[in-house]
Amino acid sequence: MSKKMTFGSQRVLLPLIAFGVCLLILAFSASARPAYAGDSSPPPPGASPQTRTDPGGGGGPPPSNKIDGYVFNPKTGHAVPNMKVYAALDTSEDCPTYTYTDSNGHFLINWLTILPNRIYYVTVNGGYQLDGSDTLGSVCDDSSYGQWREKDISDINGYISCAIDLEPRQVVIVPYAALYSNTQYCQLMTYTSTSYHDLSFSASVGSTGFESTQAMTVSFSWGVKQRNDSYIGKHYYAVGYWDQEPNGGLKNTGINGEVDPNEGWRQFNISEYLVPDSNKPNYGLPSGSQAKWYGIYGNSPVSFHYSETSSFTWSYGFSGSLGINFDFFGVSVNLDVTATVTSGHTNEVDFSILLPDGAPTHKFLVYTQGFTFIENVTGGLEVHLWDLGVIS
Amino acid sequence: MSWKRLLLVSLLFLILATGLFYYLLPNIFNPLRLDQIPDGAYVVPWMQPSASFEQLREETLVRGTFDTDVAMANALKINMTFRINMWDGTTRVIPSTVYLGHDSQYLYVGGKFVGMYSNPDSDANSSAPECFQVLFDVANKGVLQTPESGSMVGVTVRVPDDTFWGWQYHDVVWVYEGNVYKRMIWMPADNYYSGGFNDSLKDEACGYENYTGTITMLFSRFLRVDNAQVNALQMKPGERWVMGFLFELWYQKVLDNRVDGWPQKTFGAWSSNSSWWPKMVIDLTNPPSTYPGSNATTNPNGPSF
Repeated sequence: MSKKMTFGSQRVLLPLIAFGVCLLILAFSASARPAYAGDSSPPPPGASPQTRTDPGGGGGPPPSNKIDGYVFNPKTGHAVPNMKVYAALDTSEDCPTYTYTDSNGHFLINWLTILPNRIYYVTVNGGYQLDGSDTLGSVCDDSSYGQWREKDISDINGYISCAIDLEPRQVVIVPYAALYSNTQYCQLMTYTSTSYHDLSFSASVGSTGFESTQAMTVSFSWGVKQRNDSYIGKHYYAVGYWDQEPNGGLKNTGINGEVDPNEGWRQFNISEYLVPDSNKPNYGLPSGSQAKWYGIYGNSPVSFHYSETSSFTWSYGFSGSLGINFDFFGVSVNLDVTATVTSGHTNEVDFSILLPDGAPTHKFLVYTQGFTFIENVTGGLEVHLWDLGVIS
Repeated sequence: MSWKRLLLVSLLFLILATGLFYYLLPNIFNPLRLDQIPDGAYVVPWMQPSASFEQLREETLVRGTFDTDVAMANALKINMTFRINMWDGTTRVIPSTVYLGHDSQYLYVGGKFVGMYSNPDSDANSSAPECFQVLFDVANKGVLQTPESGSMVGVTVRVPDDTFWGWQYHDVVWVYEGNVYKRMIWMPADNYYSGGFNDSLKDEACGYENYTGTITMLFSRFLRVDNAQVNALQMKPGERWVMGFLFELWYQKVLDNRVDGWPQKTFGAWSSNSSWWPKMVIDLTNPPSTYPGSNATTNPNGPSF
């Protein structure tokens, strides 16, 4: 009986002991893993790096003498593989080391001596180069993503853990030239540039970097037979550079290459944003630009040929509201566009107004944004034309 | 011989030597290019359009298009039918004619493309262009070398108006594109070089007629202009060039253009092998005193109204 009882106790006890041992092994292995390691899916988007658990502990020695972490796309929550991660001691930023994230977005730098209680900078997709240059805010290693920098302090064991959100690039439209016309009598308008314009960008948040200017050449004509409010533009990528120092913020934004190198200009519809008032000086239109009116009668076409060859700069009036808008890290950004024609190059604007035979004289108002023209000399690639109606 | 006479003779000799160096030696080491005309080559005739570009533009305002057969009556005409597979699986069949002619300064390229209609990638907010390009294997080696030369014209039809809205012109270059395609491609020169050069365009007129969906175009481009970094087509007076050439027609959509070519398309599967391209001859050796059929000249001041 007792033998049976003993045998029976063993039959119950042994599986229990085995189960307990398995539990212990599982618990130990789980606690010893770094955060997210072994997880098939990354943490949810929006999770703050500060809330992520610190690795280490459990049944093993605390991690030491290394920097590791993960890089995630906060828009999708997915890991970002094959991304270059730099690390440098605060006092030797010109001598960095780097590695790449693996397929899980994980990176590990364990071949340096990580000093305890010291400041290290971890940057992703750009940073201090061996030649002493700094590509943060200017050149992305991978043009598909923006950049990130954070300041970390190693623990007493010389260990740093990072969880980094890296924003992907976004597609934006970069405008080039705009035409507003409320009349069917403007027959044809041509913009030609025998050379190029530099488009500069300024950001509503942070500053601009990356490709902060774009040189563009254009030969373009609008066939205007009816009211026409539109601009031409191309698809570009925009990226952002987030710096946790000093208070965390979007430090730099900008344009970072064309989406399609084969793309030509595309036409986009917009709405007239100016309303001329004949009772006000300069028709109540923004200062810095000049409005001029012309009386034109039937079957007597009037041609306008504006040409500018000296150096000048102007801002597009519409870019503040619809130029280039995007958001990074939840921060809304607008890039204003300023254009410059380099001295010696030619910018030409042509258009003609033709009323039908016998039509009464109409009054037309011509306004070019951002530039004061003297008779037949003007600048700017934003032209407004209004038919102000019949005059006696 | 007095020292003054010696100085005078030396000075004269120096001037002659300098003239020899600057004017004679280049012609010895860079003789005029006079290619032999191969069998089956397309010889581009001397001609000028029968109407000025201003007149053609005015005609488009009345009729939507202009008559390319009249405007390019004395040009070489090449008929072909483009078949473009669209995004929805349908095929647009586009009977077309391309016109070629030249005078001593310009190459004239005309086109009539019937059944193009508007670009399906256009919508109420924006309109994408429909593009034609002619590409040149300038050295005629059968292998493309940067930059070669080409011209691209895009015509935009605005929807929902279904009316001609505008045209654009780009010189085209054969270059390595390292950001997206990571290979040699034909691309607009201003996309590659970000401007800073004079393009080859001299003048242009384009139109669209929405009943038959026909796009018409005519442009003149310089046979020689100061833009050698983007354009290898730089002919001198008295030269005769034989070049490989290719036509392509497409509907533009970002990273997904729909295209056909003549004699066959290469767009999207670019190859440096141009040995199979047809040959074009531009012969500037015997300029005629008058141009056949011409009653108009290209406006020397460019587009104006």
